Amino acid sequence: MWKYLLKRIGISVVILVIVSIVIFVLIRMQPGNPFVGMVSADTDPDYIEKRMEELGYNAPLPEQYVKWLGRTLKLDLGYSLQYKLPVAELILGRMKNTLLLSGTAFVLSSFIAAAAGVYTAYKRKSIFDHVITLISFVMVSVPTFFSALLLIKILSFDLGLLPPSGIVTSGSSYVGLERIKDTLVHMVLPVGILTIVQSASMMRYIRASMSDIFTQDYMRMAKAKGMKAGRLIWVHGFRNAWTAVITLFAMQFPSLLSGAVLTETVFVWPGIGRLNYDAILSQDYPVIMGVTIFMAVIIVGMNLLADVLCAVANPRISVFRKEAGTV
Amino acid sequence: MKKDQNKPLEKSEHIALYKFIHNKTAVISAVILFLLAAVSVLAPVLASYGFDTTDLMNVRKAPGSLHILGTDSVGRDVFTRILYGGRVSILVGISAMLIQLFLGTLLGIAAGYYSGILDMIFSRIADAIMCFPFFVIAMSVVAVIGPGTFKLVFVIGFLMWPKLFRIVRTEVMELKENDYIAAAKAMGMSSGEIMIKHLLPNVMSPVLVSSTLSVAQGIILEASLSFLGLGVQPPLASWGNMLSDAQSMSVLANNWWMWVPPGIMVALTVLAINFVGEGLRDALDPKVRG
Repeated sequence: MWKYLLKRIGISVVILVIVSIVIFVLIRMQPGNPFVGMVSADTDPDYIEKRMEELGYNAPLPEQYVKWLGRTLKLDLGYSLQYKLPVAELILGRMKNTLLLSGTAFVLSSFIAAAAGVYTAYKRKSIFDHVITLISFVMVSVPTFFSALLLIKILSFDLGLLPPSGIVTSGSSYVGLERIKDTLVHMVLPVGILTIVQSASMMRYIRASMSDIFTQDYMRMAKAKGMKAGRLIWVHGFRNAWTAVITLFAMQFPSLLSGAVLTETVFVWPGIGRLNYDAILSQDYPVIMGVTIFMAVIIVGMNLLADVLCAVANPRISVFRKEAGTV
Repeated sequence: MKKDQNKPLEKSEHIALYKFIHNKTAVISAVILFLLAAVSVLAPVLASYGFDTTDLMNVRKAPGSLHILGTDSVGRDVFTRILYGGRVSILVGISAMLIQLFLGTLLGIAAGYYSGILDMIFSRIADAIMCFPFFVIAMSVVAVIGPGTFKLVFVIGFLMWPKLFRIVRTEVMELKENDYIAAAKAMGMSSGEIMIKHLLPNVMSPVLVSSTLSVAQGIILEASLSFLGLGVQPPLASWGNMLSDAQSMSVLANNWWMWVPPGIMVALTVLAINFVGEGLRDALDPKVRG
């Protein structure tokens, strides 16, 4: 198993190197130079040129790449042109809002998807199965932001039930419990949308992998022996879908973050996604690149975690690797 | 339409055609898609205005006899723009699919067939692309290269091919273990011939299904990026950039006709394509019995 994990870690490192090269190329292609936001506009251009020479701006690309990588590893992502703050600080500050939104949606959609996916697989071809499958099919076909806009229009503007955007009522100065309540009300729509869309696509995978399991002989055997449905489904069935489910969650993570970017933009939710969108509108390149690096690193980390969990959850991986190792 | 979808199939797969025709949802969806495509192609004939004709006397007008679906913020006819927007949105989806089809199939077959270092390189590149959340990397790329319809097609195409690549690669890895490949090698067939004559036709079914679904994906991505102002730029109309009007709270609250119709068109088109895709999957997969 250790050999397997080491291999996965090695692969993750290789992927991160490719990712970093892609981002480095993008940074090199961005208009302007990285010091524009740091110096006042009336600085002598010759002086800037000299400083840039000293800093190695005109050094050979591989050398620049290594230097840039070194700085990035130390979390030095440069300064935001718009906010005049270190990018890393800005991102970490916004991260908690994104986590609040995506995390809640992730937990909710995992439970809904697992329940709905397993149940529809168990009761295949029932009316419930058909209805749920159709709904999930429609949900993955409608653009997330359009459903979000429709909900804002109907629930916020027409019925006045929920606030259309933001994280707290603007101009309010709630503290303590009141503030938490206010935030919760603002979370309903964005979390709701993310949850519905995520559970729709996750459910489809879980239904597919559980359907395979339910047709296995050992499941029919257990059923024939009179095992209760609950134990049959969750202990014998779902346990065997574990690796598929873990892989699925890791796979869904990029799409969750990607969806959060759009959802945050639509709902003006002050998380990383909105930060990124605002940065693009104001051409704040250090922030754009910082967010991109940050997201990619999170996802590579998640994929690695999924590999580790799969190895733990699925004894076949370790056995298989051992055998392969002796050959 | 029907003929097109089944063109790459072999004779023995008349069963697939039979299964597809008897799948009501898929057939209805195919008909809807055909109508949508026809209406978009015939846009200049059907529309009574130009897609960029502004009518400043009638700005943000609700649907009425003069403009069936009202007008937008600069007095352009919404119905006309929906028709023209369909051309752009569908074309973006299809062009992006062609890029994915080319890259995914070519690299997938090569990686699966040769394995080793080539597979290692292509797979890691695919992994690296897939570990960026789509919108984050797409937005950074557009921020650097600037928005535009062609750039949008390339961004979608180059970021989405790994999906198809993985499908083709896995499929080829299984296929190449077959005896007929060994036989072909023994008979002195070159690698290129084996890949084109034996492997390519055998991966056609999953490729066809996946490509169909990727057109739908492309239309959603076009809509999303154009909604953010990073895709198709006005005055050119696309369903996505029509939706971006809803970024304004007042349009969102008061002028539903400006953004609900294009949204419904996207949803309808994507849904229809997905149904056709699922229909194809059921028809082509020998494991699924109708």
